[in-house]
Amino acid sequence: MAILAPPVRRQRAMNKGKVERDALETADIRAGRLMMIPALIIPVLLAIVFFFGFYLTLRNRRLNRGDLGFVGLENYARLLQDDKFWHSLSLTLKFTLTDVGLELSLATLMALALSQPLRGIRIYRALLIIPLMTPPVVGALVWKVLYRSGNGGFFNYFLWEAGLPMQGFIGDPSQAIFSLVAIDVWLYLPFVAIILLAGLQTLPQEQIDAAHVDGANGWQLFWQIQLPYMIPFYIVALFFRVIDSLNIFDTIYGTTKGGPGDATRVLAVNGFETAFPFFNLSYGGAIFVALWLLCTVAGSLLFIWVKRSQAT
Amino acid sequence: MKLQNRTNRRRFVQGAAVGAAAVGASWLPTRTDRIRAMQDSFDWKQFDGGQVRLILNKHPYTESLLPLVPEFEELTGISVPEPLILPEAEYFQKLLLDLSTGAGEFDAFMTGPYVHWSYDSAGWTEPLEPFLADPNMTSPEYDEADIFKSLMDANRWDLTLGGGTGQGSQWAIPVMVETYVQSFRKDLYDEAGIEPAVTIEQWRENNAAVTSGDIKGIIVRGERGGGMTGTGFISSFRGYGGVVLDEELVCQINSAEGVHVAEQYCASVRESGPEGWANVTWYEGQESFANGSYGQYMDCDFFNALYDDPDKSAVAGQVGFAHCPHAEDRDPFSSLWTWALAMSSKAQDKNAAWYFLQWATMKEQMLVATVEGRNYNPTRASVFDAPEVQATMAEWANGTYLPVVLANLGGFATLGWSPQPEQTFVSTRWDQALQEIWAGDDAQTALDSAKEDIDAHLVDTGVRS
Repeated sequence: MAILAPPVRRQRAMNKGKVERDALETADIRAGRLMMIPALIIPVLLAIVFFFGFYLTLRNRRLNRGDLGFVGLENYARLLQDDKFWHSLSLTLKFTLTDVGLELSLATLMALALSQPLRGIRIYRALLIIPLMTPPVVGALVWKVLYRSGNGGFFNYFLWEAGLPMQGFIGDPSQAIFSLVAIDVWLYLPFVAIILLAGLQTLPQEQIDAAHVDGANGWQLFWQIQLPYMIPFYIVALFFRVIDSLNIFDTIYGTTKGGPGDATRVLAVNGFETAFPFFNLSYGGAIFVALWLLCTVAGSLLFIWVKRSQAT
Repeated sequence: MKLQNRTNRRRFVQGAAVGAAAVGASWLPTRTDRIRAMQDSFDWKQFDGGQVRLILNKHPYTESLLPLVPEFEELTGISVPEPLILPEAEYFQKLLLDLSTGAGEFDAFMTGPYVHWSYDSAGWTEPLEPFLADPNMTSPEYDEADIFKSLMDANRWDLTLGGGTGQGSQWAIPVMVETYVQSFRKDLYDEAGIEPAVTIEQWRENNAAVTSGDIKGIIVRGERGGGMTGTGFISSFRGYGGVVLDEELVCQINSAEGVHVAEQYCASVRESGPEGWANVTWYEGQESFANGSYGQYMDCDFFNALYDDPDKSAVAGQVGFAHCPHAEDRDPFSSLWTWALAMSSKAQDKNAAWYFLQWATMKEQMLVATVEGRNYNPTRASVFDAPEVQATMAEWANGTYLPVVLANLGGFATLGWSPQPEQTFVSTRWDQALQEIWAGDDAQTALDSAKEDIDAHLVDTGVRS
């Protein structure tokens, strides 16, 4: 018995272990299923909000006059003939291209600098994320003060002190959109730089050393070795920043409200102004659907690019 | 040196006036006396245990009202939770969301005629005349007739599009009034040997004459949607005989008068105004004029409370007042705005909300708010004429404040706009046109385009056919 006992005990123990494992697995599966609930609910809620929003655009709903009935695709037909919509669309694209282009270029330089083994670089990296922690609307309001006209404005004070002509910045139609780009670059440049820095740090040191041994100069090292490694990181940064820039609202509404004239009336500002201060919820909603479509197209193009870059 | 002596003398005179006002303030009945006196004549405890939820704009009136709120709670037993106070743009957005969605988060709020026209026609505001007419709800001491009739009328409307103000329901009770004036630097004008302008051409010349070195001739509001056409500009436009919407509610901002005034106004701001004008808010204008950077700020009269405050202003004692530019063959014109208190039609406890509105607009509270909280200009004749209030205003702007403001309130000032619910679109689109003209666009073309948009919008929204 004594000799036989261990295998039986083992068997029992194994059976017990299996039962426990099964129980654990069942518990895990249950927990997994429970944890999936938010993942299922959130898309459903998002879909409800989206379809309700879309449904509103098929009606003539005025905030101050109630629901004036079903109009079908009339708001979309009107959109196509609305010069102000096309103006907003072109401004949005202009803003996004300038903003993202500048952010990527400057962030590349910044990431290269931050990857150098310099003294105090860690402290500098920590300081760099301060703008990231600033709510965009707060950043915008601070910059609004910096851009103030006259010698009471921060930048204009230095221009005035230097005997240079003072500038209108966000109050000047020819400078406004670029002045807003500067605010957005200040807010998000560290974000892009950190993503690109992560890309640079994944590059094996041996390859860099090998390139140096082969006599590669700095430009060749960057262009032929570092850049190809960073492509997926550029795509991630592009994805976030393009979608975010197309949706730009808080920075602009906090500073120019779309002015001077309509020099900064991008799609999100146009949609908000139409829906709320001007009470036309349905037409404002149609503008936002167009903006959503634009973001979806941009996102899809980037997604296709990711797939292709992975394939090659 | 001479200027310094003159300034010191003026500061002394102003200090004496402020001192006199402070002595006056000490003569005001105490809080306990006020409560006792009010309780004698009316049942203020009728709605004891009720609650009033307020949303208020960040404004000098709000600053003057808040310290008095505990007195209301003690008098009535109605509680007032911490009011939500927001800067103007955010305030109107939050209020609009609350009213339009019927959320009923707030019972009473600050508003004014042009804004509440949208609310009134949408049924978001509660008519107040039933409360005013009910002796069980309104104290016999209330004395509605003491509130300037023109200001009560500005907040009364029968919902007729394009007319009907002063008739129909009372939608709000005015608590302060502003009219629009040229506030100019008397010392700079004297130095340049010029008088305040009568016509818009003279105004432009004056602004250019004062511009030299670090000082520019003019600052006016320039922010789109921030009231830029609604203060000095519309006053001059109307002073030339322009109308925004005619009797048929057709937009007329591109009339000959409209183009003329807009051309001169924008050219002057371009020549003698701030570089980034399109970004200038009312408070930036007020602050910049007070710190001595500009020769003139054409805007609200009551801003003078800051200009002549020697502790906060570099131009105290150097300011003069004049009416806004107008055609030589016409009287001056000033648009006007009243901040007023209104009740949401979704108010949870309308009786308690009315008690608050009534209490806040009574003589006793308005006098204290004006003398101690500097709520200028008060909307009750008895408060306006109170010796303490007169003493303060008589000294302002080198003695020119009262004559100009009294002339405005006596007849030159009236609503600059026609009542209709799409006011925000009309004024914002006009703002945009002025910014375009300032940036170099042809005035006639920019105003034609704005007129076209406004007319299309008014047709689209059913304001006119």
